[in-house]
Amino acid sequence: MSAGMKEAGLELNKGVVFSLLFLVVVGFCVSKVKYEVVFLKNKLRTITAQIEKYKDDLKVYNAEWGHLNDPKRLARLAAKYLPDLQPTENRQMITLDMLLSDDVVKIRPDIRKETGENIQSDKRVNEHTTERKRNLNRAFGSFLDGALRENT
Amino acid sequence: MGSKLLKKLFCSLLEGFALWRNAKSHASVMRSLRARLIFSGACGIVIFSGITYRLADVMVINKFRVQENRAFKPEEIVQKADIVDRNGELLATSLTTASCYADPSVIIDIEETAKKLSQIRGLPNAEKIKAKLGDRNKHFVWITRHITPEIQEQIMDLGLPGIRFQRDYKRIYIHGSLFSHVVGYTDIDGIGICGLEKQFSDELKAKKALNKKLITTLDLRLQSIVYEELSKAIKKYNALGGNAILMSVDGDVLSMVSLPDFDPNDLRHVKIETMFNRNTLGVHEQGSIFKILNTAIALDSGVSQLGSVYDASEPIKVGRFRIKDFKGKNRPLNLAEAFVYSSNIASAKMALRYGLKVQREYMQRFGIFGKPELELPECGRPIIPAYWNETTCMTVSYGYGIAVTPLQTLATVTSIINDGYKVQPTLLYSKARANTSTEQIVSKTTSEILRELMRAVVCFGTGKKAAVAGVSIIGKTGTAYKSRGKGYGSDGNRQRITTFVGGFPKGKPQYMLLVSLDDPKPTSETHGYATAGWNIAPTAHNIFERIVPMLNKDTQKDESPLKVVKYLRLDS
Repeated sequence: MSAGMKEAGLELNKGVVFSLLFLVVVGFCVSKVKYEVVFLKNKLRTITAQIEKYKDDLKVYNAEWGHLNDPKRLARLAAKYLPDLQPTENRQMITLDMLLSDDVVKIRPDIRKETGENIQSDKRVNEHTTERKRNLNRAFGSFLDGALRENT
Repeated sequence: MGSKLLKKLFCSLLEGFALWRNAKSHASVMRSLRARLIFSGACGIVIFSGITYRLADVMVINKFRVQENRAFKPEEIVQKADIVDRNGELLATSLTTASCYADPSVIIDIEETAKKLSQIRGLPNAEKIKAKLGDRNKHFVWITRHITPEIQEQIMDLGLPGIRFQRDYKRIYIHGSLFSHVVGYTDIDGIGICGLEKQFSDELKAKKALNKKLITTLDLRLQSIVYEELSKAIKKYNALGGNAILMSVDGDVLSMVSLPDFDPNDLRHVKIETMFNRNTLGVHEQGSIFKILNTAIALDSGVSQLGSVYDASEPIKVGRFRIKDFKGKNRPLNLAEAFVYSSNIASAKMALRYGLKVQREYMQRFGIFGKPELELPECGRPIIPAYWNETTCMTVSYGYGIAVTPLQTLATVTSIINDGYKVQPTLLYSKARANTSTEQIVSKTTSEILRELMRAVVCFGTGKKAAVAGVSIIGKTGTAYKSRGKGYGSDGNRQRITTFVGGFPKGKPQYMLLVSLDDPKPTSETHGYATAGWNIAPTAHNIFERIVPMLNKDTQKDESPLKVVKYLRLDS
């Protein structure tokens, strides 16, 4: 073999060794990434399965909650534990305007029927309502004065 | 040794290359190089040809044989979306379960497998399982559906080959029979059989994919109240059954009850008659309820006014039949009195005055001739008389000779009292938002007068027992004999359907109710009467009394029918 060829052979050996080393390093990195990906995929599958399980459990709880709120069941419980409470009747519903008006007795003729009071008591109710209205106005007026004083 | 060989190979290649470069004329060297290259190439071609052939063999040539050997994968069962009421309360939902199936083609010992499985509680007996596993060509047979986790664990512990599980979904109806006719039910595979489940079978699957729910216009609280009161009435008056619909004037169906009913969670012992939705399928003559339509036609056509008089002194003879009044006044009645006292004679004469052509036109406008539209597959068509002659005109005026469903009646009456604007009932909450009809079937004036007349019925007429203090309830009662083949049966042997249709408040009605009882019996409390004023009107009162505090924002307005009162002789 000539001297030039020997030099070429040495250079080749260095190149081959370097290439082989590079191959090994790259191979190691690729396999590491691959196993990392496999691990994460498995983890994702586990978490997804857990989420599905929690969703299923939530559905069961929602169904159970709906069942517990069944009107028949609630009525049964109310009758058992709240025997003194009755469903609200229409005559018990009144608006704010009606509270402050003088016509409250006209709207509620059943008051007279229930209490059996005479016309005199109607006048007292009317007077009471008017007095109450005056008190409310007076109270509101003093509140307004106080508020204005604070601001000035 | 290997490294020496490698080194030798490299050196010879390099030598050859150097020789080629330096001594191109050396033909023998060139020839040997060429030969080596050809040989290496040929080897490569042979190897890769073999690989390509094997790939083609596996992927294309023997494709079908390969597929047959693959493990069978059953079709995935699709979950359905929840059905909720207008307040978000759950009515129907799907819960995840497991279902057990077998692949008979891979089972080793069928008899042993069937014997072991049959020992688990809840599974079929050994003979049934053996019959299912008998066909070896099959890859999928159900063993049992919707098993509990405990049973699933027991089956898995057996370790039987060919026995597998599939993720399945069981449809649960939270409130049992409360919404049975409206929501309907599904079969074991989740396929809708009736009701909303059938109507929206595909949409429910699509909505689940989008994580949405099917929102209905129903209200759980109102449904419960109506259900309870109707059940009490059926028991009290010993009726065969009953039905009720509560609807807002926008068309939202808030409640729909039909009794008897069934539990969609347990269909093993269900009787077929309990599955009949009386509201949408119960086509029958409505009786005096139709006087609302008759009076509306008379007023709207301009033929009659509130004070128009009709002689109700004597019955009308039609062939061998007589049109007569129940507890008639036996005197001339004006239109207002005819309505409040529910006179058949006056109604017939009213109809004759405006004529059968006008009657048919208005009935067409009211939508009586067509099939009612609602988001349920079970909607019955009306039965229209084949020949519409003068006799038909008279009988239709007081609700006989034409049969419609309660849904259709309620929709028509609601349209009339809603300032005449047509109301389309709906069960879907989203659709209800855009339910603003501009089609007017009667004028506003006619609508107002009808509201006054219906208020008068509740204040002074047959609907007195439906009145609720503090609310201006409007209504009309109707008692119709049930048709039994030819005729209605002999006296004392007739069955009735009593109906009340009404709403509140009079000034601008917001809610309308129709409630019916099928064949209520007279009781001591009703003094031997079984007409609508004695049984269905009190039932309507009970329902109104409970729902008014929940719905009525405009409380404490007990309005009298001032426009109509002056036409009524209340002392007779």
